Amino acid sequence: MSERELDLVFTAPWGRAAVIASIALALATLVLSAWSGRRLKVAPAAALLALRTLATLCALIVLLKPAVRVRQVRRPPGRIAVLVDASQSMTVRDGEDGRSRWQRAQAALLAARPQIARWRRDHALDWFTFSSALEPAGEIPPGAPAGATTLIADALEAASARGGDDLGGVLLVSDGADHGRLAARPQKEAARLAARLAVPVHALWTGKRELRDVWIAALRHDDLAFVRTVFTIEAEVRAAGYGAGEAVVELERDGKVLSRKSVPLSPSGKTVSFEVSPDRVGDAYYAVVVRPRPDEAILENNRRGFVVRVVRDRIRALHVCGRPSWDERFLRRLLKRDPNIDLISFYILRTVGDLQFVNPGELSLIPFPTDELFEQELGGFDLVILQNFAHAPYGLARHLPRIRDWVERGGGLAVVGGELAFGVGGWTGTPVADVLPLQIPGPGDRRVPGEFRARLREGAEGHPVVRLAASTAATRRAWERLPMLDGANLLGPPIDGGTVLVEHPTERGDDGQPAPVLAVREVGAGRTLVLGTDSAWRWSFLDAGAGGDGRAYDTFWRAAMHWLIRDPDLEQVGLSLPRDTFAPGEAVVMRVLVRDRDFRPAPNVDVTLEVARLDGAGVVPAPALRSDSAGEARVELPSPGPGAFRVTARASIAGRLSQDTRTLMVEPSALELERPQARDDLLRALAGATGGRFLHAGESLADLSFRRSRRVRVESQRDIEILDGLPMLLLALGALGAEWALRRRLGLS
Amino acid sequence: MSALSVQLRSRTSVEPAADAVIVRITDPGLFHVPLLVLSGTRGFNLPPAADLARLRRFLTYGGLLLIDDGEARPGGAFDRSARALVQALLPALAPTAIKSNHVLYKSFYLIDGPAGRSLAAPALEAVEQDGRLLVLLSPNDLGSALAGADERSLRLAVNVVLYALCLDYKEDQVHVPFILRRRRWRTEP
Repeated sequence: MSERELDLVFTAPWGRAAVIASIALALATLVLSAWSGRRLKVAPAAALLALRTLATLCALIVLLKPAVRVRQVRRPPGRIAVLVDASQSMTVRDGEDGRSRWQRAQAALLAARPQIARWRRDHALDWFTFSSALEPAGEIPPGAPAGATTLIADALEAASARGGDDLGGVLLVSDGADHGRLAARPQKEAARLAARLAVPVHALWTGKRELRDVWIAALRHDDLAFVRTVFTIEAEVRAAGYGAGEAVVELERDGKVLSRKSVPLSPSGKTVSFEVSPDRVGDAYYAVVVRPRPDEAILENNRRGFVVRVVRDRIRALHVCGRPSWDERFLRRLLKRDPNIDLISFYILRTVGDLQFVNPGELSLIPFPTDELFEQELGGFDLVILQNFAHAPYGLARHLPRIRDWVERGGGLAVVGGELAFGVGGWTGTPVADVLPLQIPGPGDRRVPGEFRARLREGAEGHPVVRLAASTAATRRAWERLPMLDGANLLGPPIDGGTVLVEHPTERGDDGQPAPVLAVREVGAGRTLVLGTDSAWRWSFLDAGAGGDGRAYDTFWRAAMHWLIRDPDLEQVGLSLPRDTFAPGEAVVMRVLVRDRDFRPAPNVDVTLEVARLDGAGVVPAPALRSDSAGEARVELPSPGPGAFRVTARASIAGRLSQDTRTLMVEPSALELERPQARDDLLRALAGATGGRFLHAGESLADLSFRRSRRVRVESQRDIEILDGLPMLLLALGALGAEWALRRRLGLS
Repeated sequence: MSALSVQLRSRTSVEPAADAVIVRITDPGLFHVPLLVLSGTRGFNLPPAADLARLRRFLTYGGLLLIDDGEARPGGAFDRSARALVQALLPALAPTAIKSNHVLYKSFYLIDGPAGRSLAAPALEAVEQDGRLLVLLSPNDLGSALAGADERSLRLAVNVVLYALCLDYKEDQVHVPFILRRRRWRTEP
């Protein structure tokens, strides 16, 4: 429908500046005229000013040619943007009616269909959903709201940009649980939006105030932690709709409850903190869980999980030695000089059989704190070295199962030979012997005296423990140059995956094979090593005496220790994830890097991938992989669904199994359910500032008004001059003549 | 020195050789035992440069040299020769008196000072590098006192051997509970 519009315009071909200058000149003329007649009587002065004004006005009309512009215009229909909140908080059932906010929104819009139809007569309707961004949608959008956040101000600005001058108003359907600028500064942001949008925003609030919920509103923790070092997890627990009471909060790791605390229910939040100390390196999955209450509106926000990357700051080593010796002395020196090792040592300086000539107070000796070391503190060590040590004299037998369990849980144990070790030391048939790489013969001393040069077993040169040089060939040469050892413990054959790395050149074991000198084994999550001699110190000191640098000894022990504690740098398989948390439905991209024995990229290696649920509910199917020419294998795993998962990549490289493990979790963003309370105050502020109305879901939308489009299309236009030029010119001349005559009569010049 | 071996075996868990082995600096066996004892009652000439270099290597790669002045006479011929040797071996490191709280005095027995046939000097001296003793100067003829089964001297000798074998072990041993608590090493239940 077209409309007629009238405007006053100047049709003279002068520019705007000339028009303004002409009007200014005319005004100046009149002011001067009034000033010059100030000494005259009032009547003559007024007559002169009137004549001059008339002349000036007529001159302006002649000069500027004013006209009335008549336009026939057409305005396009205004647009109404209907914005429906599709964030996760809309799923909350917070009222007595048992319905979710989303269901209330849908019901209100369905009920308003007749009114919506009436709006369509004058307006076009644009439907959108929004959470973090505005998305076009169909009328009364179906589906389940799952948006990770609510940004009302951003959505309104996006709708304004889309609607442009045609936008006549907004109908905002939301619970008001905003997480953006509006929540931060409601009044200020509402005023700013009103100025920016210049259209009314009508707010249809779908929330209720009677929410009954307990939830984890915030979780504070480090993403990185050090193994066996205490770090703190803080959870802020909030409650709504409850009076006094307590919430039970639990901390879980891998589904196992580590700690449980109670916290008072509070709408403003109460913080509960847990101190934890991860016992192994790698990814650790923790979850803080608030035990559900029977009538809670939301259970999804009772649990928050997270992954902490646990790294090692220093190696915590326990060095126990049955007798002072040069072997002990050189190993101690190495351990003490390494800044990456925190060393606790205990050496047996005197046994019950040694004479005592003095008061014990004159000795610096203290009792062997076996209970403290092996019962209370064992779990705090990464590495235990038992060197030439017999356990029986110290009543250690009852602790041996604990040492075995510690190894299987991830500890690194090295047992070094000597005249007190192995069978003599009573280790045969013990729980510790069960986890060692070699059978422990005995009881009795089975040592062979004499010097010998330890020999790398064929094929063992690629093992990280015996890697003395960059390449396997150089490693073999380095072993051939090592000084002779002096005396060896004769040990049995390997058991259950034990691997012999170094052997005696002449002695044979009971199985007819060269007697093992150095062997390793993986047991559960831990690793063990046996060195069947107490003369390895010669690799340092004798090598220095022969002109060498003695570094082979240091290199060997450092490699052994890092292997024992599962240093990731020694693994030939590396698994990497872009991050540890994924959204539901999001594919998980993983990359596996495979390296050969010399730690160069290994192509064409088969890699198996295991994706296991941490709750023990099974394994997610994963494809078989093969490394490419760069030693990489990449996989895009379809979303395994909500939960936490341990992903393990394994590959056998030259007969040696290597693996890497990461933890990931799939869960929706917690933001929406951290602050689930509906906010009518935000929507009221917004409606008030923009000239809109605030309505509860279910109220009639009939009285809502929307503006028309500010954009027009001109269909026709014509200008009608107000007064003709010639009469005006004559009138101006007449007025000037009359003014001249009047001045003469008044005797003015 | 056999007396010391007997006492070490009877008093401590150390299993020493039955007797000391006499070595020359040029012997291949020099590096077979990292504790070397130099004892004498008169002055001696400095060894050749090559021998000095070998002995220096012995010390810097982990060995300990105990110099026992059989004269028990500070400023005497042996003492002057010994100090000249130390100067030639380790020119950048001068011997200094060992304080009474040094780990040497608590490596096995809790003792408070030097011992020997006479108390010609009130303190042991040592050359120390990176917290480790390289050379230990005993000015009071410790060897003769050991032969005479002097208890103070035996205790000092035992401590020297235990120090050679365990280094500063007694420095950290007393700290075990403290270190464990201070580090807050605890694991999850």
